[in-house]
Amino acid sequence: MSEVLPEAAVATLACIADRVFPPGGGCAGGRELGVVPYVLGQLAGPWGQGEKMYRREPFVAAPHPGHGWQSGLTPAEAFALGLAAVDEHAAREHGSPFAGLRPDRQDTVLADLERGVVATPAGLDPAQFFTLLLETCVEGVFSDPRYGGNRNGEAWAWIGFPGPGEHAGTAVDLAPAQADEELP
Amino acid sequence: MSGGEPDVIVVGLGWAGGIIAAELTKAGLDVVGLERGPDHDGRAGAFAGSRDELRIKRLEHTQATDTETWTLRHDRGETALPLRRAGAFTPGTGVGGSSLLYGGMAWRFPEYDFMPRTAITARYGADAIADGATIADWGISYADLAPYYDQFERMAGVGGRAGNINGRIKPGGNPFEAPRSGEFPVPPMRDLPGPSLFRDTTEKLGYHPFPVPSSALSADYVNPDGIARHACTYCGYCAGAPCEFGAKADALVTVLPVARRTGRFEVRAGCTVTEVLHDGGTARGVRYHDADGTRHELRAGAVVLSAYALNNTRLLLNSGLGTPYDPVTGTGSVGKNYGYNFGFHSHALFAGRTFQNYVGSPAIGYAIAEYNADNFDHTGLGFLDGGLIWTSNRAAGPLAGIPVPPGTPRWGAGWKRAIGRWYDRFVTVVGHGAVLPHRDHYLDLDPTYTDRYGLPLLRITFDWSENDRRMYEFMAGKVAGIVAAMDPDEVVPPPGLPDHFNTAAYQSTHNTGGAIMGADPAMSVVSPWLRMWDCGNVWVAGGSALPQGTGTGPTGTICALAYRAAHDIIRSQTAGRPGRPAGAVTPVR
Repeated sequence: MSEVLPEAAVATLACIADRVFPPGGGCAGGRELGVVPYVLGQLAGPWGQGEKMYRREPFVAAPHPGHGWQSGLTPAEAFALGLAAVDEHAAREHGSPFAGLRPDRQDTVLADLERGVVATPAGLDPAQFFTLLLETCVEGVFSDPRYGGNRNGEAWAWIGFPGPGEHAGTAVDLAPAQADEELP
Repeated sequence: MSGGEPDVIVVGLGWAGGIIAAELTKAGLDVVGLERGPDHDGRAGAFAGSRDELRIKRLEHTQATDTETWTLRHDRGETALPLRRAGAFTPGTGVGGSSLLYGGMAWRFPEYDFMPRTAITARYGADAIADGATIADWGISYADLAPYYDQFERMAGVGGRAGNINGRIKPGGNPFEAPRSGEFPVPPMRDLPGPSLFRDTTEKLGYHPFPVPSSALSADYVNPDGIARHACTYCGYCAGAPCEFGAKADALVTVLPVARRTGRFEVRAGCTVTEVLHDGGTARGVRYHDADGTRHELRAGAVVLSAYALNNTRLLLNSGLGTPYDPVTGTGSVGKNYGYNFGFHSHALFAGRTFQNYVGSPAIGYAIAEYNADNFDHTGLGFLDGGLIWTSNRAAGPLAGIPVPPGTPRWGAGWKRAIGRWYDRFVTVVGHGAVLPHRDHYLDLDPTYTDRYGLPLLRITFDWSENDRRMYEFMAGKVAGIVAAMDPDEVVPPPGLPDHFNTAAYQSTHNTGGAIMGADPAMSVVSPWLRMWDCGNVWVAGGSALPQGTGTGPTGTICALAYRAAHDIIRSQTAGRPGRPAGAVTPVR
C-alpha cells in the first residue's frame, strides 16, 4: 500500500504502465521495468507535491489550449483523482475496474481518456491528465535507474543509449578536429 | 568588503550581473550582488550528477514559479492566466542564473539587427513596416559594440571560424557576419556525424555552412583574467543543466570568481529584491526580502538591474520607475516592444545509420545564415526579418523525445516498435525565427495575480502574429528542401505554429524588450549605455534592452552590452572622486 495513491489506483497504474510500454520487441514492459515505484516516488517527492508550481487563486479553466495546466491540483492529487475516474469509466463502460479488463479493453479506456471523454472531477481536464500520465510513465521507462524505473538500465541498453558519460575521445568515433591552416 | 554601504547594488547574478560585478570590482568599486536563488560558490561538486535528463525536465535550476511567475493573455480582450509551471521559457535562478542553462551558443548579431528600421525603409521603402510594427533602431551600430564582443569572446573562450575579418570574407566561416577584427579565441568544436551531414548537404545546395560559435571549450583555455577551464567532454547535457566540468562558459566559473577575489564583492543569495528606492530622479537603494522573509533596505550610490528581461521590467513597474507603456495611446516606454523567438525542428530519419546524437551539445554543430535578418530579398514575401538554421546534437537521451514517422501512435506497441527502430537514427534541422515587436505585444502588471509578497505579477500580452506565421512557413519550406536533399528514409516535418502561443510547451527563453535601449528618451527606457533616462544612477542590463526579437540568439549580445554598460557605470560612479586606493572602503554620503 503506498500512502500517495490508494491500492486500486496503484493496480490501475501498473496495468497502464504495460499499455503505454508493453512487454515485447526484446524489452520488458513498463510494469517490469519499475514504472510504478518510479511514479510513486515522483508523486511523493517535491514535484508531485507541487514544488515550483504557482498555486495561488483564482483557478480559471483555460478558454483554449494556449494556457497550460490551470488546475490547482498537484500531480499527486491529479493522479489519485484521475486514476479513480479511469476505474469508474472502466466499470461503467466495460463492467470491471481497469485492472480486471483484457488489454484491448484497457487500450479502449485509455483512448477515451486521451480523447477527453472520461468524466473527471471539475478542474481536472481528462486529456491534460492523460498527457501527464503518459509523460510520467515514459519517464519511468527511460529516466536514470536511480529513480526506481529503467531497471538495471535495460531500457537504455535496448534503445541504444549509453547513459550519461563523457564522450570526448572515448569509444564514440568522433571525427578528429578539422585541421584548418588559417587558425592562429 | 565590510558591511558598509556599497557603491553599487547588482540585482540578479547571471551573465549580465556577473560581468558588471567583475568589471566594477576590478575598477575599485564596492559591489553587493543580490540574487534570490542559491549560491553555488566553489565549483567542485556543486553540479555533480547534473548529467541527468530528469533533473533537467524538473527544471531544477529554473526560476521558482511557485513564488513568482508570469501571467499571459493572447490579446487585450482575454483574461491573463498564470504560467503555473515554467513551460515555454525557463529562465534560470541562483548565482549564475540562465548562464547555467543556456546551450552554449555565443553569437554576434549582424549589422542589420542594430538598425532594422533604417535598413528596412532604405531597402524596401517607408511603407514596408506595417502599421503597428514597432521595429526600432538601437541607438548604436555593430561597430560600437564590436570591441565588447571581442572582450566577451576572450573572457568566455568562444570557439568558431571567422567568416569576415576586417571586410575580407574567409571560406568556412559565416559570410554574412559583421566584420570581426580577428579569428575566434578558440578553434571550432569537433565535427559530429549529424552536423557534418547538414554541412555537406547545404554546401551541395549552394549554402555557406559554418561552425556554430560555441562557448563550450574545444580546447583547454586560460582567459585574460587568468581563469583556466577544461575542454568540453561532449557529454550532451548542455541545454537546461549547468556544466559539471566548467567547459561551458557561465558566469559562475568565469566572471564571478574574478569579482569575489577582489575582496570588494559581497554575494547575498536567497535575497529577493522587490523595489528600487528612489526620489527626485535618483535611486537610493533597494528593498529586499531575505531567505526567511525578513525585509531589508540597502542603500547604494547606484543600482543595476540584471534579473532577466521579464523580471527587470516588473521591478521597474513595481518601483514606479520610468513611464509605463500604454498600448492605446502609444505613450510611455516601460513594458514596450516585447520580443521573442520561435523555434522548430524537422527530422531526417535513416533506417541504416546511427548519429550519436547523445554526444555533443546544442552549440556543437553547423549553421547557415542565408535566411537570417535581412540577408535575403523580402520583396513580395509578406514578412520581414528571418532567422538562423542549424544542425547540432541538441539533446542527450531518450527523455528528450524520439522523432518517429508521422502517424505513429503516442503510446503502446506501435509506439514502442517505432522508437526502438528510429532512436538515434535521425538528424535534426532547427529553424530559429525572429518575433518582431508589435504595438499590442507588451508587458504590464497583472490586475489579479500576485507573488508570495502580495506584489502583482508581470502580465505578458502576446500571441503569434502574421509576420511570425509567414516567416515560419517560409523557413520551414527551406528546411524541408535541406532535409529532402539528405535523402532520408522518412521525414518528420515541423509541426507549424498552433492557433495560440502555448505557454506550457517549451519554445525559447529569448524573451526580450520591456526596457529597451534607444537614442530617443521618448521612445526608449535606457540610453545606448543601458542607463535609465529617467533615473541617472540606474542601469538595466539583459535581454530587456533589446528592441526586438532577432533571428540570432541574444546571449553574446547581452554580454557585450553588459561590458559596454560597465564602462558607463565606472565612469559615472568614479567621476570627481580622488583615486580610490584599492580595497579601501570609504562610505559615501
